[in-house]
This record gives sequence, C-alpha cells and structure tokens, in this order.
Amino acid sequence: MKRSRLTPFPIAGLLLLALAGPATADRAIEEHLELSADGELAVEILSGSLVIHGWDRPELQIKGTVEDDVEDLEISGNGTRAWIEMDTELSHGHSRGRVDLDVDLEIWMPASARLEVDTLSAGIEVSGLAGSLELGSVSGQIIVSGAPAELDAETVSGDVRLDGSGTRTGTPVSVETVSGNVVLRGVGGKIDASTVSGRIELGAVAVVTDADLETVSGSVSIEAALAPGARVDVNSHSGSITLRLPADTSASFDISTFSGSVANDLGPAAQRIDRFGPGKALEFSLGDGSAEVSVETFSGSVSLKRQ
Amino acid sequence: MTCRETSERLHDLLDGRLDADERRRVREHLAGCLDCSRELAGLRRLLDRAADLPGIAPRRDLWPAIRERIRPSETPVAPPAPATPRADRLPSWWPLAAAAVLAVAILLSRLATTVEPVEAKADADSPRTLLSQTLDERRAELPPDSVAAFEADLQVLDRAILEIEGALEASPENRRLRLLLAERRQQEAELLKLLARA
Repeated sequence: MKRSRLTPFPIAGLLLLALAGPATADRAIEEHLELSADGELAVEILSGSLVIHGWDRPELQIKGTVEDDVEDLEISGNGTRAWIEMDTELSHGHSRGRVDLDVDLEIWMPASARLEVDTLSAGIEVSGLAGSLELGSVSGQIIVSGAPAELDAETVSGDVRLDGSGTRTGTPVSVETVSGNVVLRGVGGKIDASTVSGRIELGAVAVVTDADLETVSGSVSIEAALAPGARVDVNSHSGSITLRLPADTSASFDISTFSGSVANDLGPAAQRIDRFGPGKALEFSLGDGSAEVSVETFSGSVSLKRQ
Repeated sequence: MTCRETSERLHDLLDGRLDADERRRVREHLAGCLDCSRELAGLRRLLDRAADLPGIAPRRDLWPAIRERIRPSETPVAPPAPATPRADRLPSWWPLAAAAVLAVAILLSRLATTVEPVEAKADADSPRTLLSQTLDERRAELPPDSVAAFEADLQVLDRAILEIEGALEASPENRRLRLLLAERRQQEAELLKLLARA
C-alpha cells in the first residue's frame, strides 16, 4: 500500500504565521497512485473544490493546493481502492473547530472506477466517468457531466446538476436535497429526485422511463419524451408543476390538486372532484396510453403543454 | 417493500382495503421499520381526531352560507336544509357541514399566521422533533447558510403539513389529501436521515 501523509504544519511555518498574522499560504501537492479500472476512489474533505476527470489509465493522478492550516490530508491506496481523506475531527492546534480549511484538487482517475465523495462545503465537479458515483455535500454544488453508470447525490443547500449528454439512457439517478435545485439533462432510466424548496428540472433531451419527483414549495418542470410503458410520478405541495411533452406522446394521465389550478393543452379540462371542497382532477389518455403519468399537488398549479 | 411503497399503502391498510398478500407485506415492513411504524401511528391519531370531531347542533341553518363559500360556482347538489334548531330533525349530512365550518375556521386561522414561525404538532419521538434535536446537535458542525436553509425549509414543510391537516379536518375521507400528508411525513423522515448523514 502506498501511503502519503502530508506533514503536519511545520514549526518554522507556525512561527512565520504568528509573525505574519492570520493570512495563510497554500501548499502545492502532486501524487500518483495505481488504481485498477474497476477500482474505487473515496474522497473526504471539508471546503475548497474538487474537479475529477475520467481517463483510460489504471492510475490516479492528484494535483492541487492545500491550505497550510490543513494539518492532515491522507492520500493512500492499495491498487483497487484509494482514499483522499482530510482529518475532519479538527482537533489539532490552532485549526481546531475550523470548517473552512480549503483543499483544492484536480483528480484524474480510471473512467470506469467507482467514485465516492463527501464534502462539507466544497463543490464537486465530475466529468467523463462511467462508473457509479456517490456524491454528497452539505452546501457545495455538485455538477456531473457524462454518462455515469449510476448517480446518487445528496446535498442540504447545494445545487445538483447532471448533464448526461444523451449518451446513455439507462443511468439510474437519485438526488436528494433540502433547498438545492436539481437540474437533470440528457438522462433517462430511473430518476428519483426530492427537494423541499428547490426546483426540479428534467431537461430537454431526456427520455424518461421511470421518474419519481417530489418537492414541497419548489417547482417541477419536465420537458421530455416518455418511453413506452414509462411511469412518471410528480408530487408537490405548493410548487407548480409543468410538463412539456411531444405531440406523439402515448400516455394515460392522472392529475389532481386540492386547491391549485390545472391547465391542459393536451386534452380535456379538469373537473371538480369534491362536492364540498375545491379539488380538481383530470384523467385522460393520449395514443395507446402505455405510459402512466401521475401528478398530485395540494395548492400548486399544474400545467400540461405540448413541446 | 420500500418505505415509500409502504407509506402509500398505510391508508388502505387502515381502511381494510388491502388484499391479504399486500397486508402481509406491509406488516412485514412495519415490523422492521420504526419510521413507517411511527407514520402509521400518526395516521391513526389523525383519523381518530377527525372521527372525534363533534357534530354540533347550530342555532340557525348555516348551510346556504357554507354552500356559497365552499362551492360558489356550482349548482347545489345537497338536499335543501330545513331551517330548524332541533338536532333530531337535521339532515344526515349536517354533522359534516358543521365539521366543515369548524375546519375551515381552523384552516383560515392557520393560513392567516403563515408569516409567523410555525410550530409543528409533534410527539417527542416524531421525525419532526428528532429533526430539530439533530439540527441543534449538529449546528456547530455545519455551514451557517446550510443550517439557515434547513431551518427555513423545515418551516416550509411544517406549513405544508399544517395546511394538509387543516384540509383533512374538513374532508377526513379525502384519500388524496391523506396521500399528500403521507408524502410530506415521509419527506420529514427522509430529511432526518439526510441530516444524520450530512
């Protein structure tokens, strides 16, 4: 196992820091490790940035800068698994309790390897990876481009964006955020997205086979073709929901809202469903009705449009 | 069976509408899932409260005004109400109308206070209470903007739940409302898991 631990803050540096005041410098790092094509990389840092690329070599290359106050950044691996881990217990010296210790890394890894990242506020940018991605950040933004085998992303306040480029339609995507926006373009397969106040956008060239989208106050926008037999469930409390579908869509629709409005450019108007309440519902089919679309809101408006 | 699949079947379970196989699968999941068991318990309490709403005998016939406020654009479908103060001569739908008046009043009063911080009704071991406790415990470890965003969104979720509960008090049999409530409760539980992992 190759193991490289960046040395603790040197005494000479500490003295210099004491003389120079609170300003800190960055240390440059460059590391190379073996990592098999079906291997796995796990990264855990607090703040800063991560830019990760896929390449066709069985090798991991790490370049970047580390804030001097970062006392322990462990980079290690055994050929099939590699770790880049910051000591997040923050129990050392003058950096104790700080959560803004920046680590800015650009990483190249085997394209088909698996990637797992956890950050506090560091943004995560991934491109060209075909393996599974498990990405989490509390407040950092997550941006993925390419066609990973699977994407599982979680944030509290960071946005999540996936540009699948339409090169693979079977990528299962699962995204959960609290206030972050979720923008998914060029993806297909099974899509689960949940947010409280963020908006969910399922973008232009997607072909949806199975989507489960959920928000409380954020809006949901779907502009996509539905695969035969597709299932789409959208649920919102007060957020508006807009579906833009191609003219040749074949689907059965089950739309309901407790007090919101329903505008349908694809078929009949919604009907009142509750003798004593303001609820409205709409059920109709287009084509052979093979796909199933279910939309439910409490007070959010629902709009069905033609692309 | 997943938590979401179980959650979507809880209402039917309580209504006795599941077939034997689904009932068995739901119960198997409930046996091993604390979150779903709590959701079922919360749903039972909600239905019990709705069932306990009193059928108040009014001093005068309120139905025409109710009809105007609730169904302003449709032709009345309910039978005409006799203007009588005697409860034993009231039409069979009268308790529902009285309950609707109470519930609409409750809902309006709640909606009127939505600019103020909302305190969700929560049991000590509910996901909502655990969410607040976990957030307090982790407050120092998380970026302040994320904590603020989380707190704001908990308020959003609280309001949503209160609005649905208020509407359910007016329409306790509304299955779609109960599904929406179950979705929001499920989201609370999911947020708790997310916060624990963050």
